[in-house]
Amino acid sequence: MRMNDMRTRLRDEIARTMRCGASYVDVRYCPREDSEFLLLMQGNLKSVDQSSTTGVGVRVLYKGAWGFAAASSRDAIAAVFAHAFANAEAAARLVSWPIELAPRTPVTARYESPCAEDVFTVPLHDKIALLQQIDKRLTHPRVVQRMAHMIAVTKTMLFLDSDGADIEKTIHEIFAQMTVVGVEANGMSQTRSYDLRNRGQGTRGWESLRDPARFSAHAPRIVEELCQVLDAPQCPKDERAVILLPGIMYLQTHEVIGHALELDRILGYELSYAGGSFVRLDDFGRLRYGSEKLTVRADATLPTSPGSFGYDDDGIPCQNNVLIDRGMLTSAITSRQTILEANKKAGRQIFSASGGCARASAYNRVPLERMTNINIDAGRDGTLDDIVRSTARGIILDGARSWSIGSNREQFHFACDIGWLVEDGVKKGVVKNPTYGMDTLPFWRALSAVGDATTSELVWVQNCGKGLPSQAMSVGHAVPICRFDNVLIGR
Amino acid sequence: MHPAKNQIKETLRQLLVFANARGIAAEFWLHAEHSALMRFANSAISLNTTEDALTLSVTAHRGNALGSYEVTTDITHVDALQRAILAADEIAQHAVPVAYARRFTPMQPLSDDDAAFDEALCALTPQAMLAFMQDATRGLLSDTIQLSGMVSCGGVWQAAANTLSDTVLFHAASDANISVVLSHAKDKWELQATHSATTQRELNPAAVRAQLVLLLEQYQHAPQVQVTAGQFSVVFGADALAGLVRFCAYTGFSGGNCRRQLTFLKEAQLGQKVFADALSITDDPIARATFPYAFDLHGLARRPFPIVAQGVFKAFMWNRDDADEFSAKETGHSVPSLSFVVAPGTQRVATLAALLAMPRTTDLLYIPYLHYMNVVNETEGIVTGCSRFGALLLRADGSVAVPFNLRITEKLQNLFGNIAWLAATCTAVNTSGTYGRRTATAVLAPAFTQVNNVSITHTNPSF
Repeated sequence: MRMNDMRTRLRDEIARTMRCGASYVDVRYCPREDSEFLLLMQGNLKSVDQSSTTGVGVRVLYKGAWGFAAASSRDAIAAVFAHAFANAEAAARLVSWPIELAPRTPVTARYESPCAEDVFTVPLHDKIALLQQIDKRLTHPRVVQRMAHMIAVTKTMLFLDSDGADIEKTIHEIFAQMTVVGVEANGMSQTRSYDLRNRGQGTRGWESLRDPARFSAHAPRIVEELCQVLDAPQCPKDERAVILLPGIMYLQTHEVIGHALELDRILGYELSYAGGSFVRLDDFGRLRYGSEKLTVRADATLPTSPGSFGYDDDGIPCQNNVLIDRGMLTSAITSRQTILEANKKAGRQIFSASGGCARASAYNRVPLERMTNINIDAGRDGTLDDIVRSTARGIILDGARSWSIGSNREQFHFACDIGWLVEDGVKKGVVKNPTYGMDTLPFWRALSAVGDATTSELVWVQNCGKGLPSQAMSVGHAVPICRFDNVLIGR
Repeated sequence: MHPAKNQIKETLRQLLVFANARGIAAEFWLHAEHSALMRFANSAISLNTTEDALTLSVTAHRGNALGSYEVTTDITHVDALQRAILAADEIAQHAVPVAYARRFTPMQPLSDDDAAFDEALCALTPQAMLAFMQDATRGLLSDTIQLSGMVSCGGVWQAAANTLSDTVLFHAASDANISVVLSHAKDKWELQATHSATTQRELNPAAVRAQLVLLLEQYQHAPQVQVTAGQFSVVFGADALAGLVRFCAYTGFSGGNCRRQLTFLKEAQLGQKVFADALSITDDPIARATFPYAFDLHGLARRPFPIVAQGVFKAFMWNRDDADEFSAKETGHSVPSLSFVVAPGTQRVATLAALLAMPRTTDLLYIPYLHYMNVVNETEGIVTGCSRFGALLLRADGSVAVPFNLRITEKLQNLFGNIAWLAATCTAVNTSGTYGRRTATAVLAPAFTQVNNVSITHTNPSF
């Protein structure tokens, strides 16, 4: 069925559902989502998987309660609307806080994320050849396992709602990672990985993976660093300054700023799964989250990141909002649903409008508060060398090996691929198995140096999990090199 | 809205004919599902959803090169299903062969694997879901004690076939995964009772309520404490133990990962004692509570597979691709989900009430659930995670306190090696995820397991 025919049919169904008593209806119709996954291990092409998905998801608000239904059959559209309405009717039997959507002006818009070269038009042998070239660069006598993979997604989504919004989006995604594994003399293994990323410029098609500076050129470096780790002493148990490179700083930001500031978590909507947040509504405008060097944004306007998507799944245009201003908590990751509830529960206006962060991973999932690009503003503390020079005892850390966070995001534990000790302002040798952990607020308040713009990298996250039914979302984090004082390491 | 069994099997037969007529060698896995999920938060239904989906996965073989194509569509859209076959074959033509021989074998003719399917559970109404939750929490909620949780139920209909024979294997299962969480509106603590069912008759809200009542009593009246980090004797609940066992699947029991140097168990340890005598773990496709598969994706019949027997490491699990790559024998482990069963012990502790009443000579930490576990170091077997959902400090003097959340960072070898006892009663822990397609899975684990010398590496000063 052609898009305009489908649009007409969906509008008819929306109108019919509204006549049944719904106070709001939206539909996301996915005419096509294509994905491709290529995996090379030890030079063997283990997987060449492509997929194609179509479907429709309908969300209905009835007497303050949400009902949702989805199906992969385009023939079932009327039934999907009927199911969604019936589900909302059933949900309306137990309402404690009737859902109200914040007002907004519905828009008619088209959006396509920047892509110079569509991955799906590139011959398969070219994509395999690129991974094989990378595999060759990962080959080394001390590397016992080499892995390289790429994932590409192109999806088109039509969003219509009962307020008259009409948004058609096409999103291009590409992710890639390379990993090497080595074995120490004692039989213990070490890994070193690198993910495709950028510095905030460029596009997100095949050209980004093809650009050596963004991906393949890092292969020899991670092999060299793995070899250093294999011969390195154990990370000491100590209390030191940690200097986080973007390869771990992005995850630090993601886990204990991003998730902690999702307004649905703060309001208790994720308590049975992902968890809550230590942040309370009283904290907005009052809580010192970090040192004065910390300014954090939810910036969905960056053109080159998976956390940018034109319009969210409430039909709200993407925005660039400050969440933490020079250390003070000012705002959250918000949607139309949560801001009115939060303002009323707080007894004051904290949020004036939706932050445009309602996102669903696919047609068959409901929109939730999701991170966009949760970024840290670059600082004035110079380069890595400058930061090292001003560090008496520290450790430089890179590579996300393990992460585990408290259920209210109140504390965390990270393990990294590699660490370099810093003594008296000088970068010293490599240590293996570096870990660090701390309570969230003391950590961010101990932020003592923020690198300049030249240290900032935009790291893409493919699989941020949340929600029931669960959703894996792609987001981004533009982060500079940062230093935190007096952190426990090696535990 | 889900397709009928015969329609699924007949569709696959037609696709086999289509592929064979074009000389395409391929494997098929068809997955249809109906899913319903009612989510609760702030003592209300926060979301009520249903989903119906059908996916056909095709893997085409061109010698040692494979190409896979998956289409999510409707079973009546035969054109789309046929295009998936052609697309997979096209990919295989351009793929590069691997350097090892890939097996492609006929499906074993096996009976339909759908005896456990219960239409009543699959089609549980929203009214019935809400009634379960209301029964499970009757009299427990207030302005400060709030309800969260979910009732997830549904069914899957799956079929496997390949072009080497006209055999079509069929699997269907119904499942319910229920989580009931009570939280304090201001203090931020949370309690949880979970429930897993394969049929509607197994649904038992009274059992869930009994767990909540006892935990709630402790959390409302016992003092709250920050324990001091250090070594503790810990009694893990079934949920926590199931989580630890599942981590072993990747970092311990996978033959492929072992050869890739990514496991803490090594081949030299086969036949050796690696864990406590009391511990036996089997991948048991006969254990109905685990939502088992009678066959794997390649049509290999699955049988009970001992992995650890009385502390002795018996075998690695091998899926077909890993077995092909490393010249090992596949063990029927190319499956959507495993069926771990931890054998019960001898300790007569079936309920939390019995655990609280049990005489003790040292302080015990009761940890029912481990939140956000991750592997700190694969080959050293170090994992970390936090207590959540109803931990208790059972003091040696018989008193009980509520510990703020704490972090465990410990080697799996120690956690499974220092087992003091396992409960004689097992419970099914539903470990199904709701990412992607519906795949029910559960671990059958002792209700309680005491482990000594567990490292508590961080403790919170509050909830």
